[in-house]
Amino acid sequence: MGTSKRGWHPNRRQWIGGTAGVLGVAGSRWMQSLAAADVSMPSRARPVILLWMNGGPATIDLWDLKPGHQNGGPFQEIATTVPGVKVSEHLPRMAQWGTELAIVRSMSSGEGDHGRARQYVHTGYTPQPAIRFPLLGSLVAKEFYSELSELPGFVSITPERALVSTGSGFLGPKFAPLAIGQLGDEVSGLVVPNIERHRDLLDRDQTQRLSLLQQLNQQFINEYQSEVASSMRTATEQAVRLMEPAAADTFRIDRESVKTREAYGPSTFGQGCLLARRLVERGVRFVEVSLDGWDTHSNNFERVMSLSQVLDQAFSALLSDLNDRGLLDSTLVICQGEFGRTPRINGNTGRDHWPGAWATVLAGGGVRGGQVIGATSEDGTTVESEPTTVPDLIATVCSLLGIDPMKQNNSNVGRPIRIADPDARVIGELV
Amino acid sequence: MSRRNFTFFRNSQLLAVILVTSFGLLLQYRSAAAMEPLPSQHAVDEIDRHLSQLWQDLSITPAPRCSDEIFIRRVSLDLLGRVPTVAETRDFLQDSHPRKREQLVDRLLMSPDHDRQLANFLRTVWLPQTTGPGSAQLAQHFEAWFVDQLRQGAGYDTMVYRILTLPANRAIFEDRRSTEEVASTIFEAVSESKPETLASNATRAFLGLNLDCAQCHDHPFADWSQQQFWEQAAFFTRPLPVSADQLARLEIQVVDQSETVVARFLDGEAAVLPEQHDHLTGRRLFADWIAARQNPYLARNAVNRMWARFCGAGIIEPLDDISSANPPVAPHLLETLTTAFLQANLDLRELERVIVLSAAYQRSSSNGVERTDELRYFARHPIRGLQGEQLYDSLMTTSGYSTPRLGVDPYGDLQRRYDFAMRFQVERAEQSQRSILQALTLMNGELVIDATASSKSPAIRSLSAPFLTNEQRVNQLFLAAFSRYPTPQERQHLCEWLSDPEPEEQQRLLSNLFWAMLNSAEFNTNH
Repeated sequence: MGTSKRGWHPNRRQWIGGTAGVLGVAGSRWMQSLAAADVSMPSRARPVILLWMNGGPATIDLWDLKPGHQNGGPFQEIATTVPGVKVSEHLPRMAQWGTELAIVRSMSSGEGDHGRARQYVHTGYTPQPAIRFPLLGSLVAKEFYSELSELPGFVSITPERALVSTGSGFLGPKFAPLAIGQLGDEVSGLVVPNIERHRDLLDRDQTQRLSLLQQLNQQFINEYQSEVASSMRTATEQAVRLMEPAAADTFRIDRESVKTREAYGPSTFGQGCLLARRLVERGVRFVEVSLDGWDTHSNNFERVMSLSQVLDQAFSALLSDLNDRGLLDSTLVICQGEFGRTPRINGNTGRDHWPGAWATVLAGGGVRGGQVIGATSEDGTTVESEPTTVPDLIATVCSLLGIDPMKQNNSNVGRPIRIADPDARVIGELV
Repeated sequence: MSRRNFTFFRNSQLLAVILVTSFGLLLQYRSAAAMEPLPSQHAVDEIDRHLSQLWQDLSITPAPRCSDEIFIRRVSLDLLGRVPTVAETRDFLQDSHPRKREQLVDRLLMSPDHDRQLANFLRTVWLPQTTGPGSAQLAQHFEAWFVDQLRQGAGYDTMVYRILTLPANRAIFEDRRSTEEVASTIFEAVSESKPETLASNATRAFLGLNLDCAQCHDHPFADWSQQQFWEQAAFFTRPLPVSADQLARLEIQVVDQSETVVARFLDGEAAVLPEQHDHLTGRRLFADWIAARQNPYLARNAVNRMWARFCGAGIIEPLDDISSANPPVAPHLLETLTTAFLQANLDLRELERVIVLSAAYQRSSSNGVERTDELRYFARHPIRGLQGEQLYDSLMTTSGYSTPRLGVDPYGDLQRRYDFAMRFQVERAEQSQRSILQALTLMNGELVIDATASSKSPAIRSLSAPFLTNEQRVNQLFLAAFSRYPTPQERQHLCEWLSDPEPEEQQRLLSNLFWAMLNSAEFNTNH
C-alpha cells in the first residue's frame, strides 16, 4: 500500500521525522512480531490453570470425606488409582487420575466472608482498604512478561466481576486479566469482547487507521517520553496482535473437534477448560476458569452432586487432553475455592461457610502426585496435621514455576510487597 | 465557606458537645475567621519562590513554561474533567490579555463541570470503595451530595464533619432521602459499619494517617500504636453503660484479644462524653476533632492530595501515610499551601486556584528522557493517563456531544459513563498503564466507533460543509482532539493526503484520521 493513492507516500515518511519502516501495517513491527512470537517466547514450562470453585466448595464432600461420621452426609468414598487415597463417589473420572493428584487436606484461613476470602485466596494477603494486592495470575504474568508475546499473560474465563476489577492491583493494567465472559454466562459468552473490528470497516480503512495511529504515537512519544505514554502504545500493539487471525483463533473453541468438545462436557465450565488448554498451549502463562454455585447453604448434597459431575468431567478431560499433548508435566492445574463448608449439616440440609479446614487439589506441572498432604479431624472441623495457609500455597506455586516467592514488587502505597507473605513456607512434599 | 453556616450547624445539633469539648476550639475558629484571607497571588508567588530556591539548591534546571495550547488542555482536564471544546481553545489562543491564564482558571472554577469533577476526585479519596461493580448509585449519590454542599458554600472542614456524622438510623435514612443523609450513610456503608474500619477509613481519608498496620500490631514505620488504633475505633461504638448511675464511656474490645480500650484522641487527649449523649455522640466527638481547623493533619492532608492530583506526586509520599517517617520533599511548599488554604477558610476552589496558577503546575512535560528527580521536585510536569471519567467526557466533548450531567440527564446516560469509567479506572494517573482490553474497547468498542463514524459523529459531519478547505478540516480535528493546531508538517501532509474530490471518500478519510487521533497516546494523556 506504500505507493497507492491513499497510503503514505514514501516522501510522507518525513512527517514523523524520518522513521523508516512504518509504512503500512503489513510491514510494521507489530505484525512481524506476531510471527516471531513463538521463537522469542520465554520457556513454555509450567503454565498454570486455576479451576476456581466460586462460592466455597464443600471439600468435605469432594476430596476429604468423613464416611460414618454424622458430619459426613450421604456420599460414599471411592478408591483412586493410588492405594489409600479416596475421593467422593461423584468424582469417578478424577479417581482414575489418582497418581497425578496431590490433595492438600489441611488448608485453613481466617476469612469467612465471600468477598474477603476470594481476595485472600487469590492474592495471598488479607484485604486492606488502601493496598491493591494483585491476583496471583497477575503476579505470575508479570514474572513471565514478554512484550513480544501475541497473547496476554493472564486470562480469566467467566470470572466474578469484583475479581476482575481487583485484577492486577498495584502491578497496573498491563498484567490485568483478560476477562472472557463472566459468571453465569452461556458457552456463547466465551469470547473476547471487542476483539473484532467493526463490521462496516473495510480492510483498507483498518490498515489506514493503524498506520495513522502508529505514526501519531511515534511522534508523540518522541516528544513526551514516559511510561504512561509507552504503555498506551504497547497495549494498542498487543491488542492489534490479539486481533490478528492467528491469535484471535486461539480463543475459538469451535475450532476443536466435536469429540474433544464433548469430552469436556457441555457446560460453560467444561468448554472454558477446553479454552484454557488452547490458551496454555499457545503460551498464556496463567488461565483461571470459574465454576459458580458452590455456596450451598441449603440442599448441599444434591447441588454438590450435580456440580461434582460437571467438575469431574471437565477436570478429568483437561488432564487427559493435556496428557495426550505432552503438556501435563509442564502445566500446573489447581482446583480450589475461597473456603470450605461447615462439617455440621444445617437444618436446610446445607453447609455454611467454613474457612477453618478445607482442601485444595493440585495436579500436573511437576507436582508430586499420588499423595495426600495433611489431615482434618474425624469430624472434619479442624486441621490435625501439616497445617497449610494460603500464603504457603502461593509460595509453593511460585517455586513450582521457578519464581522466587520473596521477590518484591512496588506497591501503590510506596512500600515494596513480596509476592508471597514473608511468613509463607513452601510445602516440601509437593515440589 | 461561610463560617455562619458552620456555627449554625453546630448550634442546632451539637450545642451540648460544643460546650463541653470545643469551647476553646470555637474561640480559635472565631479568631481565624476574623483574619483577612491572603490574596491567592501572594501564595502563588511564595510557592514559586520556594520551588525556585529548591531547584537551585538541588542543581535542577526546571522545564520551560508550557504553551497556551498545553495549558488550556491540562487545566480543563484537571478542573473540568474534559478536554476544552474547539471554541474554548480558539478563544483562549486568540486572547491576548497578559493575565489570560488567571482569567481562564477563574472561569473554569465557576463552571458546573468543575463541581462535578471535584466531587469525583474527592469520592476517589474519601470513598475509594465506591469504584466497582454495583457501586454506581452510591457513587452518584455522593457526588450529588458533594456538589450540593459546594454550591451551598460549605468549606472542606464542614463537609468532612458532615460526612462523618451519621443520621440516627437506617430506617430514618430510608424515609428521608435528603442528599446529606445519603452521603453520610455511604461512608458507613463502605466501612462495613465496623468501628475499626470506620476509624481507619476516616483517618486515612481525612487526615492522611495510616493506622491499618496498627490494627494488629504497633505500626512498624510510623508513630501509631495498636492501642491508639483501637482508641479511634472506640469512637464509633455506643456509649457504655446505658444505666445512669455509672460514668459513661466509649469502649471497644480489641479483636482477638481480651482487653478493652477507651476512646482517646490521637493527640493523647481523653474523650469526655457529655452528660447528654446518644449512640452517635462518639462519632460527633471524633468528627469534631478530625474536622477542627487546628488539627494539624486536616488541611495538610487536603493540600497534599490536591497537589498530587495536579502535579503528579504528593509533597509527602505515600499520600496516606503522613508521618515522621515520610518527610515532605518541599516543606516550605507544604506549609505555604496549608496556610493559604486555612486563611481561605478551607475553600477548595481557592486551593485549586493557587496550585494551578503556580509555576510548577505550568511547567512543560515535553522531554528528551524521563528524569525522576525533575519529576519528584516538580521541576517538570508529569505525563498522566486520563481517569476513566475524564476519558469518557473527553471522548464526548471531542466528538461534539455534551457530557452527562448529574441530576439532569437520564440515569442510563450516567450509568453508561460510570460503566465506561470503571473499565478505565486509574489509581495514580502519573503511573497509569493501559490493558489490552482497554485498548480493544477504545479501538473496536461502540463508543469510539460511533464517535468517529462519518454517518453519526457530529464532529465529522460538521466537516462536510463544502465551503471548508482541507486545512480548516485538519485544524478543526486537531483542535477538537489535541487542543492544538497541527504543526506545519502535519498540516501539509494531511492536507495532501485528504485531497480527494469525492466527498464520500473524504469523509471516510476524516473518519479514519479521527479514529487514530482518539486512540492515540496524545489524546489519552494529560501532558
